[in-house]
Amino acid sequence: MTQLLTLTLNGDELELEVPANWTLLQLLKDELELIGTKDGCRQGTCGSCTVLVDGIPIRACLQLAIRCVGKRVTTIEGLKVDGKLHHLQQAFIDAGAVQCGYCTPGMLMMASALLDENPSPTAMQVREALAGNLCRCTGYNRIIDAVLAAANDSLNISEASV
Amino acid sequence: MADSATRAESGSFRYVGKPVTRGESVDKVTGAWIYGTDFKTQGMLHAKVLRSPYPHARIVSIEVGRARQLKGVRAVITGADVPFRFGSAVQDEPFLARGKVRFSGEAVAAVAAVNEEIAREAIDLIDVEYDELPAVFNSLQAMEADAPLVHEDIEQYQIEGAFTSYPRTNIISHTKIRRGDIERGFDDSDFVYEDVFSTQYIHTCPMEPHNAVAQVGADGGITLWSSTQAPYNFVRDLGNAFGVPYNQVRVICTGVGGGFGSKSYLRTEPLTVALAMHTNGAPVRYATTRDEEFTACSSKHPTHLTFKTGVKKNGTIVARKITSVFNTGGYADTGPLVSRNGAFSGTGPYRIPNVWIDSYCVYTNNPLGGAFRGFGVPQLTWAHESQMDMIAHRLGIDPVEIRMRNLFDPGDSTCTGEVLDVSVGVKDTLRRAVEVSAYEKPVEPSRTSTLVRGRGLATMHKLTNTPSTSNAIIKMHQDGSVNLLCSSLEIGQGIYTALRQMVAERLGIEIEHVRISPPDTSYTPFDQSTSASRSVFHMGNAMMRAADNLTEKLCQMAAPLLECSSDLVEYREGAVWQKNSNTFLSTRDIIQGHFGPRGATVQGDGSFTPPSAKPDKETGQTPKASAFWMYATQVADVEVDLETGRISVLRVVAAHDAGKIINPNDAKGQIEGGVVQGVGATLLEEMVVEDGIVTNPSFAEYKIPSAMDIPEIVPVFVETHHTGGPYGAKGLGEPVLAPTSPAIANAIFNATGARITSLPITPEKVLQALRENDSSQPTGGETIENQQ
Repeated sequence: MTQLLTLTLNGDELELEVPANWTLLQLLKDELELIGTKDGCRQGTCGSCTVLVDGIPIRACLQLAIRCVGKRVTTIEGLKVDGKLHHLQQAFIDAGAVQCGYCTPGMLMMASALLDENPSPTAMQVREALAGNLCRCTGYNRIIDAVLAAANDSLNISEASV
Repeated sequence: MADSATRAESGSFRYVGKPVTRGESVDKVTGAWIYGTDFKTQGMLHAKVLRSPYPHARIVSIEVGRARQLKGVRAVITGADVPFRFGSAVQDEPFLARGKVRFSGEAVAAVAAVNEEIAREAIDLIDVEYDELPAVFNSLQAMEADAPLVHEDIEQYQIEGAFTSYPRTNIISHTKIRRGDIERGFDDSDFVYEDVFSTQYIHTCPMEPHNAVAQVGADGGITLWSSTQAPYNFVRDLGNAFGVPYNQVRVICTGVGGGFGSKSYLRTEPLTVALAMHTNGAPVRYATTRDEEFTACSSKHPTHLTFKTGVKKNGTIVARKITSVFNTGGYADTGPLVSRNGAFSGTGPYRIPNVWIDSYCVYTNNPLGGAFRGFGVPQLTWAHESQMDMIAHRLGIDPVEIRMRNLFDPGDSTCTGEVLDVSVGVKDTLRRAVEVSAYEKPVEPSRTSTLVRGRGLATMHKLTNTPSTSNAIIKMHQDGSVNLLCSSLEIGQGIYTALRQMVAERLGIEIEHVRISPPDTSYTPFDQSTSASRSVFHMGNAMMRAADNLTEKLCQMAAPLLECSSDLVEYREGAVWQKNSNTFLSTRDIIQGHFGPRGATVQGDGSFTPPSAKPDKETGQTPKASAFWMYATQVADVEVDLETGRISVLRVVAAHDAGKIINPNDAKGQIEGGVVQGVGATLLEEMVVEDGIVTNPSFAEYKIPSAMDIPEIVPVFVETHHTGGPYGAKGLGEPVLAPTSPAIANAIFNATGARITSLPITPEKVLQALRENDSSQPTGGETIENQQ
């Protein structure tokens, strides 16, 4: 059984027939070939598939695709701003926060949701926000540093533009 | 001194030793980097696997008729369809179970269908009748004479390695190390202490599950897209298993989302290839579920470790006898090699004249043990560093002092008789760790009286896979830019960047002009594996030779163009110069001058195999067991809640002798990530196996550290210069987690007097130990002989 799904994906409006039992992760990876969202556990326990739905971070492996009707979905492919790296992406590169990189897209989506809500988080707030996104390589410290640096960076930019 | 050699060289490099930013990170932060689980190809089928629910059972019958008839199913296979075995040390593992199953989670049948859903449905339609057999789970019980046999026919297996196997037992390998006279050593000791330690199952937990896509052409050629750390292991092992020439097995490497050893040897690939042999050329994809990761892919071996150590009153170690037992589960996988590797480092980085080690790898009906970052060394380090502090405490000697008394100096030899003549920085790792951690100063106390703090340290050494070979080709284009063709894998450790730095340095060209060609066994030459902390040293050396071969060819081509003999020209920074003159030819001038105006490429070829000598099977003695030795000391500060037993690690100072550091940024990243893995292994992680069944096969139940669980980490480098390493480098990836566990255990003892000898250290164990301490002697449990 399929169902008509209309949604805004990374800024583009889409209308497509989707099997009713598909997860958002299946839709993104299998149908739309947006491979940036990672498949780590399909149990909602690792955070690798984190995407934003109406700005809220969710686990794409647990969300049924058809529940995104009329929603705004943002994946890692939609994080760039005007074709340039988002300051979080640049901060991850600069801080050496990327090792194997499999958790990175999910971490970035979670971190961008955090900074949208709280532009100047403390280190503990960053840790708490990322606590459900597992990383086996980096030991997290540089990821936390990168998020704090990006927050600092964007604060400086917004102050400069005032 | 090694240190002065390093100083003399530092500062003169343009790229080596500099924190060059990784090139591939851009693709990783945008989601463009293609991992195995992202890979797709035309007409791809999807596989699912039926796995045994029983740890040990005879397969009475398998009925696949209904599954085959399901619409959308393209192939259903069982062990009867694939009469092959594979295995990296022992060829004991069938592609799919045949006759009986030896662990719960063993693959029994596999399906390929047009989508995953149909494949899963087909799996449910397969009926297997089992007849349960008596099983054995405990490794010590498995060694007893009347234990149920996991494998009845060990003598028929092809076995490689310097160890002994015992048919009609569960002992698949016995590694022996004999040095000096052990009994006399104990007689000469003032005290002899015997202590028992144990370690648990720890899963590698790569964030990317194991996966493979296989396609078999009409000519029988096998193509495998794989998230692997060791494509040439796959070529060899699949070639051997199927009996096809190695050049018919093409392994194309995808991005790797974490390996930690678990992607070095065949696991999901054999049955994926077997399915692809039954699909008329259609490619087949198989990716494990997270549940299968835990139950069917290998974990760090649990071990039982008995350490008997004889010492003088002043703490000098005279003799050490070790019995280590590695539980490898239903199949050997890398078990015999892991067990041997652990033994070779088992006495620790200490000068001990009398050594006797028996290291056993034992079959049971448990899930598989296998390669995990450290390859047996973390288990033995847990024991020797815990016991070191226990002995220090019993003798009333400071933990630093007892180590300094026994640690290797240059010229000392290991338990396998190898004389350590270069890059022996172990004492410096201890000195630096003590200094940076302000070890002598007491830990700042907690403000709450029920929270007590303590500090502990641990020192270790590790060998690398020896001998092993790396080959490299550097292909220079006429504009002077180069591709490095090699089969080292970027698995997150930063090897691509380190290699690019070294190539640019050696050739004197811009790092932007160096690109790594993606590993593909059709094109990129042999490399043993991306494991054992070996890539910088081995591939670095191969790359240097390839670069020198390339520049030599350019000189030979340039000489006639410069109208002089080739001994009067030299290569420097992307050009060939006439010696003692300002005349030079650019690579474009040379290549076009030699080949004509349309140009060509010039290839330099390099191969590196370090010197080595095979260990004696009966004594383990060899003049060269390892191409290099790595050393480390870590100091951990902990806080223990006396009411709940909860432990927090506050800080870890990690001093490592990895030789010359090629990229300090990435090297620190290895330490930070490794220490956190070590914290997880010490306090959080245990794959619980009850009667052969994994009871916590998910991240909800098996907890790896999260961003909330991490200490402050202070990396420190002791850059000894290894004369055989590229720019003096050795390796780093594995030692980073090994000292963390005993350093934490020693810190807990320092804080509370509770000595925990079995991993993981749970709050329950701490409380239990505290209760026992209240009712007995604080160091209870040890056997003391020879006490005078």
